[in-house]
Amino acid sequence: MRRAPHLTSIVAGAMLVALGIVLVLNAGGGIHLGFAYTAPAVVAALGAILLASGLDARGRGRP
Amino acid sequence: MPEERHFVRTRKGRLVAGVCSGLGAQLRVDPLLLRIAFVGLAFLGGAGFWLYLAIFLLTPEEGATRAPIRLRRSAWPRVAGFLAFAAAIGIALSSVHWVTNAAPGLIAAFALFALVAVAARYARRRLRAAVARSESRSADLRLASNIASVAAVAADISLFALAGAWLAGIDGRAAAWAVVAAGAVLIVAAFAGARALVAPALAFAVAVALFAAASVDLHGGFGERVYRPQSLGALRGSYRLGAGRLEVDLRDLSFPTGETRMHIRLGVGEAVVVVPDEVCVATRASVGGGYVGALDHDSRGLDVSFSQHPTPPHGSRLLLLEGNVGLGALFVVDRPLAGNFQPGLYGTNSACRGVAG
Repeated sequence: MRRAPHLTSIVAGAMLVALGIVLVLNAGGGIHLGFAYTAPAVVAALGAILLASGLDARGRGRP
Repeated sequence: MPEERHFVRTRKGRLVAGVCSGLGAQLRVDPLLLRIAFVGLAFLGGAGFWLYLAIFLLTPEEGATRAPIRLRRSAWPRVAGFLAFAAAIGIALSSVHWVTNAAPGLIAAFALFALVAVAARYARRRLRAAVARSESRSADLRLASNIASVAAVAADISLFALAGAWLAGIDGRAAAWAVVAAGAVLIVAAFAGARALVAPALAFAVAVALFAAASVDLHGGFGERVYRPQSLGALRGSYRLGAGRLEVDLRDLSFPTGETRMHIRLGVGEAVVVVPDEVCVATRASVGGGYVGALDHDSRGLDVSFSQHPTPPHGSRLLLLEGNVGLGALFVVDRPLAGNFQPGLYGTNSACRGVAG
């Protein structure tokens, strides 16, 4: 039986790709990141990953 | 003849490893008092923690035949050898000057986290096997196995966070692409069933993001640097340090009338500029996260942008100081810092008002 992909890893990967692209733009001088933008972005990404983790656990029958 | 009572860590009444409940039963003391004592001792340089750990490792739990660690006479040479080996590694690392004189600290941190990660994994595998074999379902074994799991994950996270911070401080663009690559690897791994990569990848990415947000630049070395130029010819236009403490003492200089410029750049740590009384100082500084204290003004927080540009009388000596600090503090003072900085305590920039000294 084919195993379902790990949802948490997919969401975390997508978040990191998005965050990485923003960081690339910052490193290239296209945008300027400060804590005012980075901190909420990081917290939002972590929140999305936790949400996915919770949904994944429920989907696999864990509380 | 009274029955001889051997000290054991009890299974009943334990909160963690049964040390306090066991000691309480042995000494006929309320375990709560002992717990308070251990917590109190933990604040004395961690003595309570180490004492608890030693008792845990050297005494058996109730019903067990032996302690987690049994020190036989023949084991002492090995223990002494291990400690000597660890001390030798520490001394060797502290004396190696690789690129800069505090890089050994970085290497030591990498080595330590890697060592803990490997050792915790090995311990966890052994302990899980022991738990599976155990008929008594020892609480100690399960506790130790859980501790080993937590230690392994914590060491992984620390290792990857350190790597992310270091790479972001050395090459922000490469670090950013590494975050993109880590994300792509996670997505691929999700379909391959590998789940253990999420926490390390997140630790790496968060460290990169925070160092990028603070514009931390780790070029310029690590450690402590103190500069005290004796003449204007010896004064550099720019002083920089990657991480550590940077002090530039300008009190021996005789500043000319007009403007003199100086730039301070520090990645992580504390930068101190000591200025003579007779010079008016205009400070412009940006700090990703931390504090700026410049003579009679200060500012703190995240994304700090500090600007103090007085208009001195004609013919004054003016030092235009520009500072960039990633994470940490920049101080401009009229004498070396001794204690906490307070605006006005280390100079009032009186030369800007035509009142020298």
